[in-house]
Amino acid sequence: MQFLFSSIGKKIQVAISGIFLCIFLVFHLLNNITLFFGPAVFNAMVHFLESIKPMIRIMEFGLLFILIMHIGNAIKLTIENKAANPVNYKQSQSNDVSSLNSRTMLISGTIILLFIILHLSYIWLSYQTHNPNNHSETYYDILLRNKIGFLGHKWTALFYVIAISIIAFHLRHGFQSALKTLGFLPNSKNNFLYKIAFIFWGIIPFGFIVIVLSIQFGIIN
Amino acid sequence: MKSLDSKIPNGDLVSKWSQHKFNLNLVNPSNKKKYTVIVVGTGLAGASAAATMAELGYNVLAFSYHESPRRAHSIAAQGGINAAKNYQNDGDSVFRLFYDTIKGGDYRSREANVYRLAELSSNIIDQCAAQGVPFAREYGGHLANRSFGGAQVSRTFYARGQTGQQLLLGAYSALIRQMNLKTVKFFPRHEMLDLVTIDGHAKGIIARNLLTGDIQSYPANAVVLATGGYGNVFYLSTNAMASNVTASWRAHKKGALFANPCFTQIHPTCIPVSSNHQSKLTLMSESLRNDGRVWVPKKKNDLRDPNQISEEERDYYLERLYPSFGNLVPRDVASRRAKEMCDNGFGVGNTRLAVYLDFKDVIAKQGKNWVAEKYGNLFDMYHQITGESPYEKPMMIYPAVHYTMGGLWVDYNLMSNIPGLYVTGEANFSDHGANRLGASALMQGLADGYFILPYTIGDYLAKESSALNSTHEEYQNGVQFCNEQIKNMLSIKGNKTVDDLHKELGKIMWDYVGMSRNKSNLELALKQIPSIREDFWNNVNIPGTGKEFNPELEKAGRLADFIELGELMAKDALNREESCGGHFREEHQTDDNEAKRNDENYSFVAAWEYVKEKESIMHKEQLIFENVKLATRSYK
Amino acid sequence: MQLTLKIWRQSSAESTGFFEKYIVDNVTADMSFFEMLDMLNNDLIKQNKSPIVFDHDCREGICGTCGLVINGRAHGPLKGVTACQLHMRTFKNGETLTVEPWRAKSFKVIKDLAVDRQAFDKIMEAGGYISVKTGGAPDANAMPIFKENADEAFDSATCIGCGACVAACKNSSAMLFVGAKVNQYAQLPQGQVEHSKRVKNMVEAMDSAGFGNCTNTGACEAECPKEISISNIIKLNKEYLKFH
Repeated sequence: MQFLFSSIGKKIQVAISGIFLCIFLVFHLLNNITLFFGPAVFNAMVHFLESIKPMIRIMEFGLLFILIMHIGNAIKLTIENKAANPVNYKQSQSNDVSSLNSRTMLISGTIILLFIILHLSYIWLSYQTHNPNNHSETYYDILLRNKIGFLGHKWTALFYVIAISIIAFHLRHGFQSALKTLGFLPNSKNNFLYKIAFIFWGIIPFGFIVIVLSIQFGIIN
Repeated sequence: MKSLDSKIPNGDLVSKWSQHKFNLNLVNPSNKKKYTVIVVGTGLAGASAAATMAELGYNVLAFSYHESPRRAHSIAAQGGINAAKNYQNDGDSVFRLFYDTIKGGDYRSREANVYRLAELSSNIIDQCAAQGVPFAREYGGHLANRSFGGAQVSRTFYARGQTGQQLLLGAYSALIRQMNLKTVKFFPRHEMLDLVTIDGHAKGIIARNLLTGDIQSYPANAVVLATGGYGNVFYLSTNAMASNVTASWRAHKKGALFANPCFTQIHPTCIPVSSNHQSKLTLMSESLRNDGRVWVPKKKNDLRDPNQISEEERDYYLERLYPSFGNLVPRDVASRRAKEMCDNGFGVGNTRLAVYLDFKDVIAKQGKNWVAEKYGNLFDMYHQITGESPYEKPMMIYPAVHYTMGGLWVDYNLMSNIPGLYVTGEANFSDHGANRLGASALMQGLADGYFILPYTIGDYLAKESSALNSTHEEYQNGVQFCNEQIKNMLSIKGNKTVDDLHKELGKIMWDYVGMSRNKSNLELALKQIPSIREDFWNNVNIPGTGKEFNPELEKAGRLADFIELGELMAKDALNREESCGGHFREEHQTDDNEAKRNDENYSFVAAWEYVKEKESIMHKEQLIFENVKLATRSYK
Repeated sequence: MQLTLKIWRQSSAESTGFFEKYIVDNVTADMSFFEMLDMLNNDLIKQNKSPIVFDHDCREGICGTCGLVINGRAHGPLKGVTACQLHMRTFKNGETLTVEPWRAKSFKVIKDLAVDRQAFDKIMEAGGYISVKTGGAPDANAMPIFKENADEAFDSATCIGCGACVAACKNSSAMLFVGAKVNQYAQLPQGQVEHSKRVKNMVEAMDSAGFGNCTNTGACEAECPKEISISNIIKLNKEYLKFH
């Protein structure tokens, strides 16, 4: 218990939960990539997931728990950190000594949370309320229906691109910071763990952006 | 004249200390906690003593004017610490370290003390290594050594250029461990202002809380002063800004004898003074002389860039004058020769008060990386201060006041002539004679603190009752006296700042009581210092009050004592009609300008007694040499 | 040269502070920053104004007493340099410098630019030592230590305890200070026996002293005058994790 409430303990909770969330993104991206293979493949994939619904539910609750653990500890740390440093310097030159990403994790995190809520309410919720047996629309159609109402709209697409960029911005610091907190990552920029970090803050967000733009420009239809 | 009993044990040199330890009285272990010991100063000597006495079971109160023991100026020692381990198999031994130290001190220290120091040197290394002090090591995992100023064997243990820091952090860790165990109570930012004596015995101190200005008495069964040296009497020195003589001086005024005050060490390798705003001087470790070569241009007033001056036009004067020791001659010799070169017009730099210390040859031979590994931090520090890189241009160096061999007189047990008052480390006079060898200060501070005082203090306490009468009038008198002195100083509100006056004192001390002294200059100093004292007590302007954090007030109190000490130093220097070690009297030199001792008449310790409003009285402790033959030091 | 200084003045821990503007003339390039302050203070005293209190002692960059923030940078703009070693050649004629004390809840301002760093001693008390009694040590060469470990221990041990890491950190975290001490002993065989206890106790003391939590921004490493690496924090995390 003492471990969980210690400074390093809280950091470790944020780090572990963050890494799990990153791993979730890998699965999310893999799912989305099936869009490129046409409606049949995508629908089959969703139907498969539907067929193991109880397990998915458990995983969703797990994910929610991890998210709460991430956000809860992050907020707690931020409050404590503010209390530890109540007065700001009059003239701050933090850019010389630390990156903007690292100093704005709470802001980027808050934006990401809002994005998640919106994202879930648009897509996840519409999937939950969708009963393929009573409806002619397939899962694939829902997404394309959204081409008009949601993802296909240029402002929505722009919002998605920005939001995903902010995720990238958050992970640029977050992933390698999590590894440091867990005691990995020697302080050498050549270490292979930095390359793994790049997958998470570079390649994966790039993949999501490609998908959003592919829908917007009709490559996926 | 008081009888000065040095209490040197009988018997042969080698077994004196072990025999003495056996003869010392012991305090019953269950009684130890009833005895309160005050340690003033928590540098190497103080922290090690406080920690060790606490381990033994005494109730220790430790005082420091710093916020933490880790700030003490022991931290600035760069080069290393000597020990007669003979790990290098180059012929070192306890006797050789003893002999080198006695000889280096120009035969003005006690044989028995110095032998004990050499004997304990090995234990210090063991102790520090066990504490986790990261000494330099060979690839085989064993400790590395280097040779150091004036020694022909490699016996100096080091931690890059930060040996003092690492040793102090070791002693600090031992102390803080005891603080955690509540066996030591630490009083940070408390300055000792007076010693309390009852019936002639030291029974506590008066100290001022520097943050609140509150002055209180602290009763104790014994008091240990580990308050460092008094080099700041010269204003410019390599000492830290706050280093001062106040604790020692106030004890001196309470009756403790001050021994050999004129023995000050001038360190040859310091960064030269650049302007009159200079607040302190920075030392460049003497270890640099292992690989750097000292030179001046052969032509007077040669203003060319040093890299433009060819080998033939350079005078490597130390190598020329001292073929066998070369650049490694002892500090006093190297300093005096540098001054002589500059006085004769060969000095370099804007002020002409500097000589070159060149690394060109070693960089060519060993490569820049090798040099950087060994001296990197020193080179960086030099670069930072002067704006020039020693990798590209030779360093400029000049001697500066560095260490004071003199201090309160103590006997073999490190007890002053006031029973119950002990003095350790640089604050006492005991082991370095007229000149300290490089890498011996750390050794002495730790030997005193870890291995000598904790034994010898028991001998005194065993005979004393542990009862303390904290309501004794001497405590109240002491507090009142200190309060009044502060009130007096604050009420002057004249037109000179403490720094102005300190600079004036420093100039007199450096010009007349500095590296080389003569009768007329010393007499001049004795005439001028009292007028500075007068000026101080009539014209000093101290801002603020005594009931707040007031660094100017602290400085003023310390300066008042420095002024009085300066006078005693001049008096002592005038009295000592010989040249020895760091004390060079121009009247007493050989044909080739080397120091000329007068063993027949001055082979003694001059211990001065303070007499209120009268001339100080000198007491002599004759030095007896049974194991070494007094010879003229020769480093040719 | 001439400089404008905006200096934080605060008469005591309880009172509220403010910036006061001073114009300093006759500053020379070879003066240190503190010698410039000395000069200013000397003038202030002569004008019967209260001099600026700042922490300093050795003025050689080793005692760790000094510490102030110049234009938002702990110990001033140079890397690997303490405030006391900062020389005026670093600045340009006519420049304005904002000078502030370390800001952190655990480092209370005592007066003006001087702060109280005893919280560091409290952390050290909790375990910053190897429990060896005087006199009980074996021969120093009886325990060989790999040169690499000895060197790494030394790199960590160069910490001067100035508190710049805390001052630079937006969270006022003391983890670089703690990490450096933990890692020094972790590298050495003699430090192993109490290692797990040391890590736990020092982290606990650090937390209860009110320091913030590290978020790996790296500001501490960038501002440390002894350039102590953030890898000390990574190792501290690892050790802490290992012992739970």
